[in-house]
Amino acid sequence: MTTENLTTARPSNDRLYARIVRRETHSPRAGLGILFAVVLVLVIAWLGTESVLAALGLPALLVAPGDALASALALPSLVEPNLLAITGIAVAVIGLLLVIHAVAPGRRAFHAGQAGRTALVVDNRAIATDIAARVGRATALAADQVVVVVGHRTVEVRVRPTSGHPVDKDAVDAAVTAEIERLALSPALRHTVTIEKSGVVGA
Amino acid sequence: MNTTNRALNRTGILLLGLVLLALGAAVALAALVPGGLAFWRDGAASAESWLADVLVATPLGTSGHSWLLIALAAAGVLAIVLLLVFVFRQGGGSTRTLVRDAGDIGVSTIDVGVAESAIVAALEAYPGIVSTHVSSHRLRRSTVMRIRVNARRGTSPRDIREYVDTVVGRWDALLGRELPVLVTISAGIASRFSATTKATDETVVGNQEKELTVSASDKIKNAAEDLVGKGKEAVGNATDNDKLVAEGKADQAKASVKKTGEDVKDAFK
Repeated sequence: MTTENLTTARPSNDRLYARIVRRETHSPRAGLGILFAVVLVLVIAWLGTESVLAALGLPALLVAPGDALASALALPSLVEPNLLAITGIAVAVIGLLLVIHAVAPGRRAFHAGQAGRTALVVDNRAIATDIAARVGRATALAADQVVVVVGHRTVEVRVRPTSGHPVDKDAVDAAVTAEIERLALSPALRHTVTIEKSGVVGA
Repeated sequence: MNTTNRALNRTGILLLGLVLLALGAAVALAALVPGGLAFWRDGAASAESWLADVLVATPLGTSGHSWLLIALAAAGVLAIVLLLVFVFRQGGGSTRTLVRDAGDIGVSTIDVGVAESAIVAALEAYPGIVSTHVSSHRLRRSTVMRIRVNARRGTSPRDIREYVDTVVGRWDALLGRELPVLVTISAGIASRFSATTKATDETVVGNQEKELTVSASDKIKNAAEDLVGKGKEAVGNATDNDKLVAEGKADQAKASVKKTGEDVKDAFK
């Protein structure tokens, strides 16, 4: 199939595909959402049970609501001010982390391909092994001599040459550039190539 | 791909974060600022008496309890129900029904299993693919088919995608319509333990590599033909159309003869 076929616009699916790809490449924050919902359910159920027990004049499960409220209000007289300050700061920091977690984009380790007949999402690890294989073919190096790390916008290629056989950095660079261009991923990837000084013996 | 309400997840986390931040900051401030604790004590005393007044001022008949507490209990039950709905709606939206057409004489549906049996076999004939999984999901009033591909180490995602698109094209022709399709390519556990493709292992062999590519593409063509056969048979069975079933069987037979030919060719290499 040619490039033209891959990039043929299908306006009917474009918006749907953009939405699917966005959902696929970003975290739904479901784990924390579920955790908090479950904790909240347990807390509400416990408070309800304690309230009913208190209303009926029965002994409390853990603490009667009235006592809990009273001790919360009397906290300053019961606890060291320093301990109170530390606890307060810790709770505030947890709150701040949650706020950041809620607002941060939550990108997952995926890149989107160009949408054509199908929408495409590629795992960063698949991109990394592909680039490593391409560099390996271009330089006749073994697979474990090429290490590729794919980040959100960057590709880091590290090559350990065989002792006594220098590796052409330009050839590596050209291979990486060509493969990245061929993949046409978004967000676009910039790359760095490092040829390590110490070589592998007898590879 | 699911119907998880992401905005709600984030809003909930944000609200809880803000509450904890405000609460923690207030406690820390009260403990650190001189006079803060005295302010807390005074505030606590007045809050306590205000609460007692409110509870006395809102009696429920002659029961001696405040109706505010009853209302609070009802709100609690409602909150629990809503939270449980929220939890169980996470990750929903997957469906078995790929196509559903209501015509004059009845309703016809196509199960995702039809697509699965046809597409998976065709895709796994490709040397760069370790395994695939096909599922369908409802998203915004449309059904989206999802094809997960586990790539062999070092196979170009671009090559895989082009092959998947070819197979999807044949599936479209079979189905008579183009469903939205999401392809995800990953290199997971299965691909990590798989051998790399022959082509990358034997780069120096030269001619042999070329031969491998040619015979692989023959196999793929056969697999795709097989796909059309299997699909026709499946659709035929679902609609009780004997002619279509027979046609599908014929296609498959054609492909399997060719496949045998390939195997013989392989054996003589």
